[in-house]
Amino acid sequence: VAASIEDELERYRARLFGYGLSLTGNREEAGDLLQECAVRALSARSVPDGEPARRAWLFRILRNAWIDQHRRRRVVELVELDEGRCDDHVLWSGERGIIDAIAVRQALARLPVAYREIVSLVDLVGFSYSEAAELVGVPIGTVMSRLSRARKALLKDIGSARDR
Amino acid sequence: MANRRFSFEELNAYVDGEADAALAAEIAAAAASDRRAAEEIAAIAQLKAVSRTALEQVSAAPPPIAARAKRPPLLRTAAARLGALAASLLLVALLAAAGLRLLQPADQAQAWLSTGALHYQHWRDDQGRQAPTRFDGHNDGWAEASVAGTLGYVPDLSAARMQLAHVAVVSEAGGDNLFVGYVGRNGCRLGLWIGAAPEGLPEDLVVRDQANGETAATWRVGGTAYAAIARDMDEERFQAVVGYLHVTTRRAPREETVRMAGSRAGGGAPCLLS
Repeated sequence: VAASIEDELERYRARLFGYGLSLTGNREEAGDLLQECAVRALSARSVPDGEPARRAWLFRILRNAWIDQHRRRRVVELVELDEGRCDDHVLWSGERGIIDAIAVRQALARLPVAYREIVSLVDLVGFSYSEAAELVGVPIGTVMSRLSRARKALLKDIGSARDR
Repeated sequence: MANRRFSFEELNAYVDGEADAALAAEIAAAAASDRRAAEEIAAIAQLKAVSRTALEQVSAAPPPIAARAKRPPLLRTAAARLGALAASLLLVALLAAAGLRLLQPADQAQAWLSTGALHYQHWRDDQGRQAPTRFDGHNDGWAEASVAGTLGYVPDLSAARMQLAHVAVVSEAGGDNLFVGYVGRNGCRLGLWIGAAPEGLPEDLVVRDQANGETAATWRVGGTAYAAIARDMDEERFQAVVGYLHVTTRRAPREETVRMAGSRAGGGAPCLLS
């Protein structure tokens, strides 16, 4: 089993690291989370069967490691997204232009972590809404709401950057 | 039905393949005749694709996984464990001794300031953080803030037109430190780093230009060290705000200091709203 966990870790290494980046916003801390995740996974006494369950399990381990790290540092984390950043009136309409990756990367960095996390889980990791909801421990409706608000904020942010 | 407006959540679910069959068919039919719906779907789809690309780019070249299932054999005897423990303690003692010799007081002050500057950069780059759950201004220049369930007092800069935006307790640099973030009306961001005074930090205000374009001012009140850190803030404005902080942290603010700090709020070059 341990050898296959190594294979799974290697297979998801980039996406685990990317998810860690979305949680921490910092490559060094994301790297630490990845190592902590690997240590915990390799020392686990029981491992879920099947690929989807094992993938969810690995991401849950990384998320728990992040939560533990936060508890130690006692960092105040406030997650609500300002209504003004995602109202309907400023929705970027795709105005005959290309959304470029640099603008999205910068806009993602400005999102509160709870929203960036959902975008990362759905768009990078490829989780379904229900898988993301189970991992984060919220109802599916909350995942839909956060994803919707995050994308509105991203589109607004990108639109504002284009206007500057 | 033709005029039905779909919510943004529904359109997201459609693009993500999470809409049920009936809703997906309804949206697909509407997109054929409703230009706004079609544009929104296109924007979401493009954003989703580019978000994935952007996230893949930033997570490229992840560090290799150091842990391996096959670990070195465990030490088997108590003697071996004691030997390893003794060697570790000796190494720690040697490193500590070397560190004490090498780290001069000025270095300690700079190291403490650098830690604060890192937290400032982290906070400054993360504009999503909002104000603490509660705080109340006080006439004596201090605000009550709730941090991780604990009430505490931090300098109130509303007189200098800067709002308290973020408070965090940070356990680093050998003890607990407090990081307080303020945001001005033009988007200026100022961080106040508070902790146990490192050896060699003078009581007087010392303004230091940091290597990455930030300006920092440090001072000490008894055993407590303060560092104000900002970037892209007008120099006069920074000095006025820091002067006010310097006074506030020593005693009740004088009227003229409050006025001075506040009067410069609209002057000078605005901060960049990155």
